[in-house]
Amino acid sequence: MRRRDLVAYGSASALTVAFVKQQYDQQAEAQTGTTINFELHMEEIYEEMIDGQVVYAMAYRDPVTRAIRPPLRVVRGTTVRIKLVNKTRRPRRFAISGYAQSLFPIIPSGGTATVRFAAGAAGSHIYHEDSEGALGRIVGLHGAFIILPGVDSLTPAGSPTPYQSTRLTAALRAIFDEMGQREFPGGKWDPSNRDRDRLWLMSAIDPAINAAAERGVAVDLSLPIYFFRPRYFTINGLSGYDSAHDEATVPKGYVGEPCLIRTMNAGLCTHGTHIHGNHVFALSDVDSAGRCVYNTNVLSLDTWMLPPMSRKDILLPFQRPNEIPLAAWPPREEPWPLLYPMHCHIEMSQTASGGQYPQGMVTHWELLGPSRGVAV
Amino acid sequence: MVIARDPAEFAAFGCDVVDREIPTPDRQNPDITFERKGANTINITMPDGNDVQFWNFTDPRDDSSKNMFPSKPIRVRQGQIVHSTLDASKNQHTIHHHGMNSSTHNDGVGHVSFEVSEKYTYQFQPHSAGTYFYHCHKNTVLHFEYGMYGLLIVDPPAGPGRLFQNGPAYDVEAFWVPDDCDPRWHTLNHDAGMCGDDVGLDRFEPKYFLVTGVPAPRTETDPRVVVNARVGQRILVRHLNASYSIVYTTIEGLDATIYGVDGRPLGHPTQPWAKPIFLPAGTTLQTCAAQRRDMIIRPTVPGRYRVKFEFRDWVGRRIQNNGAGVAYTYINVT
Repeated sequence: MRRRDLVAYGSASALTVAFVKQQYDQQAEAQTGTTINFELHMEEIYEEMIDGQVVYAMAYRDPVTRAIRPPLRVVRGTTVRIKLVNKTRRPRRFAISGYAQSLFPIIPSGGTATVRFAAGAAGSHIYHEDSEGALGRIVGLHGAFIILPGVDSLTPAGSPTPYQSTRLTAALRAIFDEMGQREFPGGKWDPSNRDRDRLWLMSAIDPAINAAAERGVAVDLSLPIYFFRPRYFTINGLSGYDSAHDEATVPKGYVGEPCLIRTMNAGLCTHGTHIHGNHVFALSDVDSAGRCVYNTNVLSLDTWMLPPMSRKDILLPFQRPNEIPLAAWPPREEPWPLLYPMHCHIEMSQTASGGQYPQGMVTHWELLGPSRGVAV
Repeated sequence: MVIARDPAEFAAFGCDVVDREIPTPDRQNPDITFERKGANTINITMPDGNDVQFWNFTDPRDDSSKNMFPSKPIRVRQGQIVHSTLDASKNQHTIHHHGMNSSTHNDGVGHVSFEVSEKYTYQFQPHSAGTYFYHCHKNTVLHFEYGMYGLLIVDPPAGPGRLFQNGPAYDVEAFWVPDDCDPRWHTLNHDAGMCGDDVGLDRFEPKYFLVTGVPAPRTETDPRVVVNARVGQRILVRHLNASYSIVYTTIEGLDATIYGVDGRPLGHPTQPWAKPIFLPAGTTLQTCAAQRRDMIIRPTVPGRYRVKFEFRDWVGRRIQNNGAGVAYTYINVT
């Protein structure tokens, strides 16, 4: 299920309607040493929320696929070239967390600019608008910028990882080597299988702030009158039932098929993301300058905190849910796949429009069976 | 492209969750059993004299549990097959044994399985000693705030005394469970908002701040919160953030070391990727809802050491209630 994206070109008040699939599996990749080109249009749109309410928003759009907020995936060392077209009514400045602001010029309304830079160390970032503080970001001008490590990403023991080998800490090497061993029977993390690399990009929407932005008000989020009071909460732009049924969002697999999940928060709330069914391993974090940090202490967690603009890569091991009694494994008297939620435990985020639990920041993951090829 | 929602599935996701009475699938003989009855009402008198209604789970085998908040702990040993039976008693509830990686039917989440209006026995076999909790997962935003939770402690196979097998030993055990309370929410009906009403569950404005069921400032003297120990004793603090705030916990004057996180050991010889975390005296530990941290403190000097809990808003991190969202307690060392 996709949330409806109603597009208004030019003036936001002229509601020209189109229904476009929002593709979160959108990607383009290039090998180290080459140049990769993207084009993003900043647009004013209307989006339908989970309860049918239509809210003014802004978004980056890929003009070819028409996808909004497309994840940009590149390989370390690639020259990244992004043509930016500002179709909104105010000047905009592009930004990428962890990258110098000086890379990105202010683009006037109706203007175009092309930025060019080298993709740095492998990791997960957020691209966003920052000319008016957090305002552009929280009304929807954001997306994921993902840097893949290229060929040199193995541990000394030969286990694939999402980071270049020179950045791997001892703890990261140990946990990726542990996949397929002892408590984690099955395979290693497989970067060649895109199903094993997922994105959970969180955000929150305060329709009153969005409406002020639509009116062209210079919103100062530090003023009490503009205090952010979100009413909708999204993962990859979707909420509740929709995010729990979205193929690009819901990880699926068998025991022994670990999955990397890039969790990020583009919103203004701190979230406490909690997963059922497996504990996850926390692989990365960010420092105060927004740069990726590779964890030297890899904690096994069922809840991790996601402050605004944080990015935390986690590894969902897809192990046997280890509190199912051994004698009851695999379950025979309940249906497969086993379904497990992931949701924010700061539970206001589980609402929409002040109620409607759990139509907020929730999705699922699915354990398809005890091992691939074994009938259940 | 827009994919149509299945109306029945959409309704079952939130407003009209399946309510089913079934036997526990793949049932095994239990090593230990518990019973919890849903939604007993208790009133907690706040420092300003107001009585605020909370709900708890009670143990029908133990009358004293009716007045316990948080609800009576469930305490088991690693490796035991546990049967935890919920008697919903009225309306619908569930029990999610948080941190127990159970099968879907035993996980207690209505929209992927069912809610319980009569009885259901949840089955699980704890695999890792540490600190967990249990809570109702129906209209969780409200039922958790109403207080429908309790600690779930998994001891190592030999029982209490160590955090986990071959892990750190302790002489004194303490439970710090910071929680916050918006009294407006404590007047709402059990299914408030579930079918489309705007009941304001996006606005959480706590006025009272509690630790382990004790409203501040009584946290400074109440034995449920204050820790008493002697020099050289090892204090295990099991810290669960049961609030909707980001809690900043600061122990003044005493070092602490975290040996357990979300029920998983740090420093276990078979898990070299996870090491204990040393917190020098005065370090602020930040936790969000549902996170658990198991800390060992070993005081070497007698004294009265203050512990501060700051409850901060999830937007902007302001201290809640215009700066009043703070609780204190003490570690008394003789």
